[in-house]
Amino acid sequence: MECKDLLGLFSDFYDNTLSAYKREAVSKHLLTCKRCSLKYKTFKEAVSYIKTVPDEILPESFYSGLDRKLEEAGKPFYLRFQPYLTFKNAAVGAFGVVFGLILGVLGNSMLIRAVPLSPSFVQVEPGKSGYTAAEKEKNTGRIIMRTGNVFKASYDLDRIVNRFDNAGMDSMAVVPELKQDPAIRALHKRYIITVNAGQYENLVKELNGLGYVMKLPDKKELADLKKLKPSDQIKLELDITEDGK
Amino acid sequence: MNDIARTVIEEVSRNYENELIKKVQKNRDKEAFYHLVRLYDARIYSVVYRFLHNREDSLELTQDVFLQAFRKIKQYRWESPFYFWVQRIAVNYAINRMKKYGKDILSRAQDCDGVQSAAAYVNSPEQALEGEEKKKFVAGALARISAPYRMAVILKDIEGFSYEEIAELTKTGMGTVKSRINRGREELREIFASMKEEVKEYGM
Repeated sequence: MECKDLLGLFSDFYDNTLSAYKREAVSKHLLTCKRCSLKYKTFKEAVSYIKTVPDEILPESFYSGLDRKLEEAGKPFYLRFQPYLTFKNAAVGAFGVVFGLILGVLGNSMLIRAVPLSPSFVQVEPGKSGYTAAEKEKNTGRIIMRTGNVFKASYDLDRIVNRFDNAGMDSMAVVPELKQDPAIRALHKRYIITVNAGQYENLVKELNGLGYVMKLPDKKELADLKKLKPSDQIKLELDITEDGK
Repeated sequence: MNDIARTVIEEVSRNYENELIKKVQKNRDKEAFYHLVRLYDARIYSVVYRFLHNREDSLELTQDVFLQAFRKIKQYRWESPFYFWVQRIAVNYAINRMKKYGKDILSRAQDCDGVQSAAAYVNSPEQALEGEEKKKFVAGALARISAPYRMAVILKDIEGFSYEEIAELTKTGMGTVKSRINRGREELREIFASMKEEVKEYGM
C-alpha cells in the first residue's frame, strides 16, 4: 500500500469499519511511513478533541423568547390581528362597510327597476311546467310526476344544485318558478327538477340525507316509475315549505 | 453496583420524560413542556450553534425548533426517543436556514461573535474560562469545514449518533453520510494541522 492509497481510509480505519485485510494493510503502512503516521495522529487527535468539547450554555434570553413565541402560538388566530386594531384602522373599516352597504342598496334597487317581472318569464320553458294526464300520454317514455311537499326547509336548495352538478348529473336542471302557489301557505320556494329515472333514487337519498321529509309519490306513480328505462327523464316538482308547516 | 444505580437512574429519568410528554400531548401543558425543554435545550442549541456559528441566529432557530415541537407534539408516535425526534426538527431547520441564508449568517457571525460570548462561571473561573476557550476554538474549527460535511461531523463525533441515525436525521442515504463524514473529518484534520500553534496552546 502506498501513501496515496491511504487517502480517504482514515475515517473508516478510525471507526474500525474496514475489512480485516485492508485494516492490516493500513496499520502496516502506518508503521513504516512516518508522514502518514503523523497525518493519522493529527486526524485521531482532531476527532477525539472535538468529542470532549462541553455543550454550549444557553443565554438567559432563550426562555423569555420561547415564552413569547409559545404565547403567540397559543392565541386564537383573530387575536394575532390585535396590533392592527387601531382607531384609524377601525374608522376606515367602518367607513368601508357603510359605503359598501349604501352602494349595495342603491345598486339592488336599480337592478329591480331594470328587470321588471313579466309573466312571459314563466313560460320560458313551455311543456315543462304542466303535469296533466294528457301530457303524460303524449310524451311517451317520459313521466311527469308530482311528489308533494318537502318539509323542513331551513336551508336553501342551491346547495344540492351545486352538489348534483359536481356529481356529474348533467341532465338535471333546476328551474326556480317565480309564481307562488297561493293554496300552500308559507311556501318557501318551488323547484322543478328534471332527472334521469336512474338517478331518481339518488336524489331521494340526497334529500333524505339533508334532513328532508319527503312525501313520496302514490302507488300508481311508483309502478310507472319502475317501468321506466334509466335514461328516461322524470320531472319533479318540489315545494319547499318552512319548517314544521 | 454502579451499573445498577445507573440503570435505575436512566429508568427513572425516562419515566419522568414520558410522563411529561404525555402531559403535553394530552392538554398542552406548558409547565410540563418547559421541563421537557430544559432536558435538551443545551444539546439542541449546541448542535445548531456549531453548525451555524452565529449565536443570534442559533438562539432564534432553537426557539423555533421547540415551538415546532410543541405544536406538533401530538405527531410524536413514540417510535424513537424524544430527543431524537426534536433533534430531527433541529437538523432540518438548521440545514434549511443554512441553504437560504448561508452567506448572510456567516458574514454576521464574523461581526458579532467576538463580542458575544456567554461565559458562564460554573465551577471556578479558570475552569470555566478554559471550557469557554475550548468551545470557541472547536466552534471556529468546525465552522471552517464546508457546510455539507459539517453537520455530519457534528452529529457523528460530538453528538455520537450512529451512521444510520445520521442518515435518518439528515434524510440522506448511508453512502452519502459515510462520504460526508469521511470528507468532513479529512477537512478537520487539515484545519487542525494548519492551526498547529493554536492547537498546542489549547492543550492538545
